[in-house]
Amino acid sequence: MEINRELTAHIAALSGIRLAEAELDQMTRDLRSVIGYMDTLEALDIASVAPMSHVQERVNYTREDAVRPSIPRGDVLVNAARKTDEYVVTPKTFG
Amino acid sequence: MSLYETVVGLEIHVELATESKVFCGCSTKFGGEPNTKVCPVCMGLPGSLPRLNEKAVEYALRAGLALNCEITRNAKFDRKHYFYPDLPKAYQISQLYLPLCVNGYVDITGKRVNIREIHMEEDAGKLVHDLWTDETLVDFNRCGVPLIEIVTQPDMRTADEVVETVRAIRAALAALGVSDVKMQEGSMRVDVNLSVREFGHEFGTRTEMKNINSLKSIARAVAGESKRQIELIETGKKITQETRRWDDNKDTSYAMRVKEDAHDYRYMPDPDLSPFLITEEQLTHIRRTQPELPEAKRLRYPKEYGLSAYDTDILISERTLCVLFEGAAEITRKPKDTANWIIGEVLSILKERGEPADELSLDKDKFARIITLVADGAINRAAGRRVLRALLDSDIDVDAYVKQNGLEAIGGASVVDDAVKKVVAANADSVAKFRSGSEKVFGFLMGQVMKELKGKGDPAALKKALEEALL
Ligand SMILES: [Zn+2]
Repeated sequence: MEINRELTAHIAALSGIRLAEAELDQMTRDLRSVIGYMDTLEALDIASVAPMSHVQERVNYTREDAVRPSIPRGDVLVNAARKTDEYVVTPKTFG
Repeated sequence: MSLYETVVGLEIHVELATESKVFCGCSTKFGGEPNTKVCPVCMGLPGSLPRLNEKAVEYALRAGLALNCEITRNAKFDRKHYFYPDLPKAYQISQLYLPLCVNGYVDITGKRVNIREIHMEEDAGKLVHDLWTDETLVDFNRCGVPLIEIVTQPDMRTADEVVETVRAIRAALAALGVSDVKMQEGSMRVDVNLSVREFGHEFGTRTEMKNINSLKSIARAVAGESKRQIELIETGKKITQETRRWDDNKDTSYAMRVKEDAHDYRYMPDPDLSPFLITEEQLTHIRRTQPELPEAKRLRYPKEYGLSAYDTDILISERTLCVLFEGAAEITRKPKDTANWIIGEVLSILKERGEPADELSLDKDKFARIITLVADGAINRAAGRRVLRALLDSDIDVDAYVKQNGLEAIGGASVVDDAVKKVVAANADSVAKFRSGSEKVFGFLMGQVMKELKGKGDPAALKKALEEALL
């Protein structure tokens, strides 16, 4: 995959991150080296290895369907930049 | 118009009826104070870790088996990233690569609608528009409520087929008890993917319609969107692939404003959740304890209860009706009578009141008591109807209500005979007409006797007494 400034800017926009011009260049170089290393890995012959999404061996780490107390509303709203007593407030958005 | 064929596929989101959310212990109860059923896990705060609710998996598996799916044995969850105020984590936990259930189907009249997949995911929060401030308020209570998304193949061709498919899926899920499938409340949400094409041509460009919250509006949305697309084609315009919002009041859909890149979701396996394996044991257990599905009832009702196919179809369309019917029929031992009371009386009262049948809650014992009282001639049918209305209004004691309102049928021979004598004496003309062969007047005389008995006569006893008097 060709990593260039446009792609970096696109990914930054999708991620909601604002990058200055200099940061964009730096980030593009970093991404290129990370993705470049993936190309090295791609060269390996893994035909006989089953796909793996997780490194830990644990599976079926589930819980019973039981209700536990939620946290106080004040704590839910504490990090919101704008809020009422009950809600987080955002600029006009369509549901 | 007949040049064109409509092609529809569905994406149906269904909230699972677990007590707690899919990855945390917050309550899933509908309603309540905003932002009070929230914790660090469902808000996606750093350092919190999700843990899968085993009941949600069980419910999703039950749905998958009921809809004839193959089950993925090594399932996992993926993150679907997008920014929206109703999604505090900025990603939704979903299943892209290995959905839990695949390749199912549901049969409707004359055709099979294939189900591509059913995957598990979590619901998002609710946005409330504040008209005063022109801002949006966010309530996170629904964040993390377990959902399944049922994705069909584009196998439907008419509004009727679409409605029948939704009905069949809804009836199956209701019978399983895995969701309360209420379209109005949003526990079942149907998105309609629709395109039109000239017969024999390739699929056209499709649009996706959201915000359709009743079976009636599904039918209208399918008709309305087909018409819109055909008009575009016929005037040489292009159909844009887009998400549209159905407006039931205006009977039309309009394009939703979406960011250009919105569909670049950057899916990746969720590293916080371990893969989960579905064992043969688990599936066997679920198969063994699967509740009876509408399809099975369709075969059983005519055989076991002697019901017509028509009556059977009406009953199995709603879980509440099946429960009431089976419960009451067991008590009355008169299944056909019981079915008639449900279809003829209960449903018409609900219809008249504009109340949906899926919310019906009628005590089976009390309902059965009414049917038995009428069948035994203790009250007449009109009185039975009156008691039924009262029972639908509030939790009355049937026998006490009959007594308090003096609804007992007057069947005592002497009272009936007296009334008959009185009517015969007072209506010599009609009696003479009847005796000279005009059978029509019998009904009139019956009516007079019933009036004499203030409407409380047992029609059978009354008819017999009148017939004897007129001999
Ligand atoms: Zn929570």
